[in-house]
Amino acid sequence: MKKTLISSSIAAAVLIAGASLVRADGGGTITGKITLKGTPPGEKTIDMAADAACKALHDTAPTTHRYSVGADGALKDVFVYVKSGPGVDGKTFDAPKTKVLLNQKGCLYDPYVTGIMVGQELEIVNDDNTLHNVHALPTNNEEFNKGQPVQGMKFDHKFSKPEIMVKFKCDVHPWMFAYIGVVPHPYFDTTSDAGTFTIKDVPPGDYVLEIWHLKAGTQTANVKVTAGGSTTQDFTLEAK
Amino acid sequence: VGDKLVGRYGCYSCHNLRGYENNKPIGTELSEWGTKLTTTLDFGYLEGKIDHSNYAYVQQKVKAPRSFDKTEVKKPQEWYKMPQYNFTPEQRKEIAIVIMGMTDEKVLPQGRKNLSENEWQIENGRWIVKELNCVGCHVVEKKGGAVLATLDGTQKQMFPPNLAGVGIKIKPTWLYHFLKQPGDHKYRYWLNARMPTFSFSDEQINTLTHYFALLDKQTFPFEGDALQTVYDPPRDMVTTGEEIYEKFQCLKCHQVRPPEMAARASNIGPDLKVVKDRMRPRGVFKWLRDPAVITPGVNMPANWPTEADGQNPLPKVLDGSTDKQIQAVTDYLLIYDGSIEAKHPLPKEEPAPAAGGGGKSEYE
Repeated sequence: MKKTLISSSIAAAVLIAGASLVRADGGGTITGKITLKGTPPGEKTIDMAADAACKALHDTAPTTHRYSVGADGALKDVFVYVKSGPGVDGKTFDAPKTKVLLNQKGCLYDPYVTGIMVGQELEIVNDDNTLHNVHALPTNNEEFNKGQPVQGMKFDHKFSKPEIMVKFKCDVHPWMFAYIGVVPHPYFDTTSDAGTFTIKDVPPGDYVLEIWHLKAGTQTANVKVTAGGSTTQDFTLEAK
Repeated sequence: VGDKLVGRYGCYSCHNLRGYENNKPIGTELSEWGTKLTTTLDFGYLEGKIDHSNYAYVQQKVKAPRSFDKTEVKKPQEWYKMPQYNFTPEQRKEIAIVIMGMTDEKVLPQGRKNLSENEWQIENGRWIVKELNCVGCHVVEKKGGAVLATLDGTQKQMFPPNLAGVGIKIKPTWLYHFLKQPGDHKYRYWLNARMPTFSFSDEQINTLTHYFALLDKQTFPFEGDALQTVYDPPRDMVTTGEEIYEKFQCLKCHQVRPPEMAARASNIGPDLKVVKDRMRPRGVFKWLRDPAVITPGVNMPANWPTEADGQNPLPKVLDGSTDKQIQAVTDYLLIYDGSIEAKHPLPKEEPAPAAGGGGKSEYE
């Protein structure tokens, strides 16, 4: 009798904690805006002369975009994710079937900063009529380095472990970089042109939210999420 | 008194001291200490306080040499002479294990590891690798490369190569000539730094080339091409190989440039004219399939899909078969003479190239 009790309580525990979860309904939303304080150093103009095919794709030479700052200091390309809290700690989530796209267009990676879930497909596409090599340099996941010599080539890749952030480079074009945050749950976002982010359907509770910017660094904040409620958490990063 | 002290504390054990050349070491002989009878050890005041075993005795001795008699009963000239080394508990344990292993016991032949001929060859190679400290610069068997820590990322193009996969890639004949005179074989032609000449004997080089081949489970010294003086692949495969070579823009990295320009580029690979002399034919194929499988972290990407269901980028060439296409490029490279490079203008140099080339980009 006792044995039955134990096994049924284990089964219940598995149902609650061990099973893969999908994004829960009835959670709250975390939104916010990230502002850059101070004047960032100037961006560098990219001379694509080393590859005529790249240069031909641009009327005016593009620049680096380490700091993409909009009106009132709105900072784009900041990765925002739930670092810890009751809705994510010790829980596993199914990766969504949708793919995240990493394009190589105009001899630049697009997007520059984005996020993906562990186990979710990252589709990497070469949109350019030139050779690119996609060289991922993770520290926690496996390194890979794949050439895409023909326009339109694509391949999918899944990351098996969380990692903030995985750097991508192209050895053929030393100005090409991308950064991808790999998170074990669906609660993350990257700031838009307006410097804003939205993380939806977070189960109620107290969370630690972290933001990452390539040059301005990281910051954390404690946020409280209520069922059906909306929490605003803004951040200010200093230009370095 | 000074003379007595020098004699007693054995200063001459470490320092050269004229007049003390014939003095014996002051410490106990340890050669067979592991089998010394425990009853002959003097536990002194610690009798009953520590485990009555050789193993416990050594650990206590290196922990606090004079703890056995507390220097209370004996006169100063009778105190133990061993210094206090302040070893950590972990170090004391390791020392004790080594000393306990020093015994007069002989292991019977059937208890010993009997190396096969190939294992002997590998051990002989390992011995040279260790003796000459190859691992100071190179990573060999996943270990080494200490010099890399002294170079920053901007000098990545200058890094001594990781030797993983040498047996798969390199012909023993080429390796023989390279090891004899490294400066005559600059396949990474942009480097000023190069491997020193070690004045290897033929025997040493044969040991090393055999060692590398065996590590990678390759036949030694020759493989399929051995009897051919000139490699003569099917013409149509060579033509197709050249076509793929062009489509895949291999020259983006492998076009030979002035060395100073090459040294600054992020995308520079060896002069492929050396392939026919340097690489094993099957090694070229395996390398093209996925270079990182042979040498982890290498800058050359896998240009064909590495996943089983990957989409071949040239469906109309050789039935879209990845293996056939790789064989075509292999055949082409095995007779490559670089004449195709004349058809391509040199890439323009970046105006402010990344310092040192390759490692760190100013655009990051």
